[in-house]
Amino acid sequence: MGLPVNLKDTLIVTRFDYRNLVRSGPGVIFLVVYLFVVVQLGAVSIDLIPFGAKENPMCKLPAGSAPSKVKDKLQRAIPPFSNVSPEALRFLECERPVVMSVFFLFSLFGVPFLVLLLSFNQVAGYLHRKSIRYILPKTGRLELYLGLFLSNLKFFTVVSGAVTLAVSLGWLIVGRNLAFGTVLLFSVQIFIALWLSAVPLIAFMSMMAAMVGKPTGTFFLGVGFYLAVDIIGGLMSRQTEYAKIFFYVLPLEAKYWFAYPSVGHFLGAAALMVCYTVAYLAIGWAFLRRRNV
Amino acid sequence: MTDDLKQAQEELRKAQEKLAEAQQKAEAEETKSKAGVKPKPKRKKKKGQLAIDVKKLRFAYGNLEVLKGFDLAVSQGETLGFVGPNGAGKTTSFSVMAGFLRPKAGSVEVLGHAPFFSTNLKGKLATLPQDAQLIANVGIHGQLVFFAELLGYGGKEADEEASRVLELVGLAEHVKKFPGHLSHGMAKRTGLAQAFIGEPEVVLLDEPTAGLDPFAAKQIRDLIASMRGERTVVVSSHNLAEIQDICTDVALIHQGQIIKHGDIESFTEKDNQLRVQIRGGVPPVSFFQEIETSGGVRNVEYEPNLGWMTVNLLPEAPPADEVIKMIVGKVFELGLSLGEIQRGTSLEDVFMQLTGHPGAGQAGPAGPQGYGPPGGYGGPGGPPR
Repeated sequence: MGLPVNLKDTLIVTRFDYRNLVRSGPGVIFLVVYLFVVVQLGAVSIDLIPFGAKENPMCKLPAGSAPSKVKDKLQRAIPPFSNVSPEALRFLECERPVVMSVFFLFSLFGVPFLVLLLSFNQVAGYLHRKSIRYILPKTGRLELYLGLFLSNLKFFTVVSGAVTLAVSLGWLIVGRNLAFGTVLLFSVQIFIALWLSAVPLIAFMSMMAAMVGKPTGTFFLGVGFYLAVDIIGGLMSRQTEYAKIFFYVLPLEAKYWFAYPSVGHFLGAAALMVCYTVAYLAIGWAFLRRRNV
Repeated sequence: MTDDLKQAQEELRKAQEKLAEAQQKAEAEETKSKAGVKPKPKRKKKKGQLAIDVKKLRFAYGNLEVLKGFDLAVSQGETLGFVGPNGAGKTTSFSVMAGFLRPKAGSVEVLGHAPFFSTNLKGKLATLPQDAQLIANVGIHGQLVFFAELLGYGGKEADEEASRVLELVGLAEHVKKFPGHLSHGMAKRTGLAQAFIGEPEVVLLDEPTAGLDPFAAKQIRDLIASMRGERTVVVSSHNLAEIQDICTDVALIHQGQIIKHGDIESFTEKDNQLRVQIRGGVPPVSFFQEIETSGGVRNVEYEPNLGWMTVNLLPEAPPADEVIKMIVGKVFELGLSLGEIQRGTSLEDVFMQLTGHPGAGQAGPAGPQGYGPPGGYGGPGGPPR
């Protein structure tokens, strides 16, 4: 029994849409905003450069008892930033290159949101313009759906990979007394964490695109839902700790598990991200397969 | 007088030549040059095998029922013209047959597969949707290469196939253009090009020549005609002369129902009716009476404004050619001349009658009446309007 999806067709769609994405509005917007934010972040973090992890006097104090420079930087850049535990912060501040830790946490906070800007078009663009009618006699809906998801993922992988690499190399050049291996390993961890955090949100937008069928509608509903969960979850969790469960409708809370020093947290978060991705894609597919186009 | 007779005989000879030419026209079209068309192995029409089988098809947009439970069977190799007034359900029917819309009730099978859920029709079914837009940001050649790749062509082959179909629709010089830079006609031709990629067995073309200039429209008509017998083609168009010209069969849809389906001859009653345009004056009543009393003629109708005489034949009538010869001879004996000779009625007339169009029979050769003046010679009169 063969696979229920034609992989060859899926990859043809991915390759075609990827080339298209590089020239498209969402692709360009994502690229510009991402680079702008990274440059801004570099400017904000510039005064952290002299600090190597071992030179930070705060690290000699017990976790949570000393003000964190990383947290201070992040809270200046992102006022409501509060999702990372003191243990994780201390680890990142004392055991990892500090500017890269800022970049990591900031990316975990902001990049998944930027992914929404990239991936709102997907199948919605084809549905809205009815271009899908040219494609469907030549391949299946599932191949198109997955192919478009993968092209967005590929685009994100290339851009985030390039940015992470640039930040790592930059830190190696300007940082002092840092082992190449430490920076390399940390940048791989950052990249994988970012990638795993972004995948379910691309899948989330695949789902929204299949449900809504219009790019602008997908964008506003997707972004609106994301913000609503974040804001309402934040407000509710002030009342009761149990309200934090609300955050788990989207991978908003689980992504910070990647910041913990333990492998268990990392693998747990990765497994959760896979579950989110599969669930979103399955819901989207349930809509698309029965949808009139 | 001898000169007049000679002249009449000469005109008769010319008229006979004209008739023979018209009869050969259909045959000539079938053997038309296929210049620019990739040679393909001929598929024989498989008699009895259905390419499209629609049963009790219903579809609604919300509460508005557009298709009201019709049946349609299209044989393999058939070139079917799908005609009907605006809003009759043509495009919706096409969309259901192409698998874009899911039937609310009933069933649709294309080559034995339900098009909405099946992926087995890949490469076998091609469509020209009416309102689809080309993919933005990608050149037309790039789009066609993409489609060809999905249909299994490799890199260079896909490129060549894209170039071939662009040439087929007359866009070879515009390969680098993007959809935003195309005129309506060019976009339509690009849409047609994608339908001709590969070797589809069933081709659904929704208004393929709408918005095209006469040259491009003829090119497309020739292309469709060249597929006759090799592929199953369903063409919708409001240009009924075009349908009559390129199709072997016609289905007329009206208010969500197929109200008539059959071959062109059965629509136009090619063997049951002759239409002759008489010029140079109005023939006397005796002329019509003579024709009407000749063997095999059911009745004769005459429309004096444009000079069209309609002769309705009985099943036992002699071959139509002989009746035409007889009529032409009588016309020339009267010193009158001939305009056009048609076998059968036009598809437009049938369309007007069956759809109950208010203007039916009021223009052109349509709608002849009894040949006698009002209250006059007691002619059989025309069919009720």
